[in-house]
Order: sequence, then structure tokens, then C-alpha cells
Amino acid sequence: MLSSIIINVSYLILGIQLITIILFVSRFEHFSKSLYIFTGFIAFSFIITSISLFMWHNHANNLPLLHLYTFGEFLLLSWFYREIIGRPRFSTIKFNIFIGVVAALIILNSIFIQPLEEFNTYAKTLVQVVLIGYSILYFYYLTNQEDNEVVEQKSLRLINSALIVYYSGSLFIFMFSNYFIENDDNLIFWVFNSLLNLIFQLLVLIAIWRVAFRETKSLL
Amino acid sequence: MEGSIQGNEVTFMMTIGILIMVALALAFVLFFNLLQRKLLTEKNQRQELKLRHQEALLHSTILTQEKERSRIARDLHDEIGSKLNVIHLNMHRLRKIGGESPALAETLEEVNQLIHKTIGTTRRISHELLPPTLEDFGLIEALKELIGGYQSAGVKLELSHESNQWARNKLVEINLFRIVQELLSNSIKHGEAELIRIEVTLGQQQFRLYYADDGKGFELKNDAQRNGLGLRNLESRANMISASLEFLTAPGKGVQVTVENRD
Repeated sequence: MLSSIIINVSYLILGIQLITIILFVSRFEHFSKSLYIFTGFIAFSFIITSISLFMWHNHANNLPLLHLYTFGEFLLLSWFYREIIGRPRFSTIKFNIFIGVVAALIILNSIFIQPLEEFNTYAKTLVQVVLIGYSILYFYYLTNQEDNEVVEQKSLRLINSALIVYYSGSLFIFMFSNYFIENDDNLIFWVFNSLLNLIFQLLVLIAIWRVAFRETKSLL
Repeated sequence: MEGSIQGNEVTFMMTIGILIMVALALAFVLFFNLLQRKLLTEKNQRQELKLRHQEALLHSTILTQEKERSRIARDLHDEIGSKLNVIHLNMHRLRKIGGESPALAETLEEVNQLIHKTIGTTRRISHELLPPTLEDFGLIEALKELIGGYQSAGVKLELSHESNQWARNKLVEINLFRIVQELLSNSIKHGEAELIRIEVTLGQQQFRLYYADDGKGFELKNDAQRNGLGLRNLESRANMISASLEFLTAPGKGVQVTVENRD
């Protein structure tokens, strides 16, 4: 029962992601580089989720995909935040070094500590904490911003809010995912994670929609 | 049994932990949104204050400019103009006294012509600075005179007016006059207009100015362009007389401007 909810919600999420991607592709000229990157992340997530669902249906272990997803998720969202927080608040070199170090830790974890057949709880937790940090940093950046908020910034704020809620809510779930996999009666947490993810994807769709169909006004 | 109790405890702790995290994240987002709204409100208030200050500064600049124009026009007319007239009269007398010498008569004629031209120039500058017609006969007559000056530029100008118990308000009249002056200059210089229509309605408590040309029109994109075309000045002049200013234009569509009192 619970596992069927998870699967159905996953399909729903795939549908929402697909709409987001189609919306972006059909009206791509309305988007800035930061939203190009973010939609790239959504597309990446769509591909990984599709493959993992396919593997699940074929009773294959799809955990290696989680390792790949964690790595891609970290790189794409770091790139996204680097773009929206931007210079001069971030020294590009220091930020790139930080990204390099975390990426190396993710790879080392997958090679030496938690192999591909296991949940990469350490890497996933690290990435989630980093992403929550980026999100808080972006909020801080917004409070210091001088310009008036335009439609795109409102959408970015919505994405950022959705992101912090999703990653905070799912932090403990992924942190203890190896424990959960041994105890089937904890499926409810995965249902909760799926629902959080569904809300996240819906908010992202709203944010992308607002930019795609924003009204352009002239000065007079 | 013990394992199950432990498992339940873990599940319970996990649930609490997850709920706390979600609640914290939601509280943070809510707090941030409220904070940002507060900051934005403060910033908008500061900007509004700054704008009001700039507006007041512009008003005072325009008023000073008008006062200076009026003073210079008066000085030109009363001081220089009258003295030139006296010189002109004396030249006549000198010509009579000078008598027979053709060289003296020729020089006197040259000086006389020069003085005549200078009197004309002084009068023109004085009128341009502050048309006496506006002071003496009001806006409609001043506009007729202004339009008359542009007829020779190959532009067809139409003026229609309606006045009903208009109690003369010099501030309104001078500002409407300056707005028309600025618009005419823009239409001819930038718009290459061939037909310009001006409608003025002056009522007991209200006034309305409608201005339209068939020129090139343009796309108003940024503040620099607005400043370049003197639109800031127009807006400021309209504000000074508590009037709204509607400016409509697009490439190929000419320009339509309506200035109307807000009350």
C-alpha cells in the first residue's frame, strides 16, 4: 500500500517535471542563465528518476543511480547558487575549490566508504547540509539587495523557499536511510519524502510558469 | 519485544526530528519573507522621500528659472530697450544737426540701422523669455502668438479653445504655455511632424490641454530618453499645477499628450 503510494507519487513528480521542462523549452527566451541551470537540474532529476523507476520495475538495484544523482545534484545546484548569489559576494576561486573538495568527498565516499550498492547517506547528508547552507546564504543575500524585486527574482525566492523546506524535511530521512532499508515498517518516511518532493516540484513549476508567462510592461 | 520498543522509539524520534526540521524551515522562510517585506517597505519609503525631495528641488529650480526669465525680460525691455529707444531718438536729432556732410550722414545711417536691429533683437529675446501677451492677455492669446511664429516652419498648426469663466491663474498658464513650447519644439525637431493639433479647455476650476502630432513617434525605453526629451520637466511642470500628464507615443504613431487638473 505505502510502496504503491511512493511509486504513484514518483510518476506524478515525473509528470510535473516533464511539464516544467516543456514549459522551459517552449519559452526558453524568457529565462536567464540561472533558470537554465536550475531547469537543467530538473531535467537531470527527471532522467535519473525515470531510469530508477524502470530499474525498480525490473527488480534491479537502482542505488548506484542515487550516487550519481547526489553528485549531479550537488554540482548543478552549486552552479545555480553561484549564479544567483554571484560575484562579488563569492570569490569564484574559493567557491570552485569548495565545490571541488565536496565533489571529491562524494566520489571518495562512493569508492571507499559506502559502495554503489548501498545508500550513500554520508554524501547525501553532506550535500543536503551544503544546499541548506546555500539557501540560507541566498536569503541573506536578498535582504541586502538594493534593487526592486522583479518577476524572476520572486520565482528564484520561491524556488529557494521550496528547496530549503524540502531538503530540511528530508535531511533525517536520507541520513538514516540505511537504517530504514533494514526496517520495512518505516516506509511512511519515504512516503513523507515523496510528498515533500511533490510539493517542491509543484512550487518549482509555479516559479517557472510565472517567469514564462510574465507580463512585460513599458515605462509609460 | 525489546527490539520492537527500540524500533518504535527510533521511529518516534525520527518523526519528531523531521517535523522539527520542516517546522524550522517553514518558520525561517516565513520570517525571511516578513523581514524582506519590511525591508522593502522601508526602502520604498526612503525612495519616495528621495523622489519627493528631487521633485521639490525641480519645482524650485523651475520657479527660480521662471522668476529669472521674467526679471531678465523686464530688464531687457525696461532698461536696455528704453535706453536704445532714447539713443535711436538722439540719432534722429544728430542727423538733423549733422546737416550737409555725406560721410557723417552715411555713418549715422549705419549706426541707426544697427540700433534698429538691436532694438528688434532685444524685443525678440525679451518676448521669448516671457511673452508679454501671456502676462497681459492670457494663455489662449499667447498660444495663438506662439503658433503664429511656427507657421513659417512648414508645419500646419491647429488650435481650438474653449474658455468658460476661467479665473486667470498665472502659474497654470505659464506652465501650460511652457509645456506646449517644449512639445512643439520636440515635434518639429525630433518628430518631423507636419500637422499639430492643440486643444485647450479652461473652466472655472478646471483646465485641460490636449496636444497631438502626426510625427514619427518613438518608443520610450528608459529614463535617459525621458530626460533627453524634457519629459521629466513636463511631468514636473504638470505636478506643479496639480495636473496629470498622460504621454502616449509609439514608433510611427505620433505623440499625444493630455494634461488635466487632478481635482
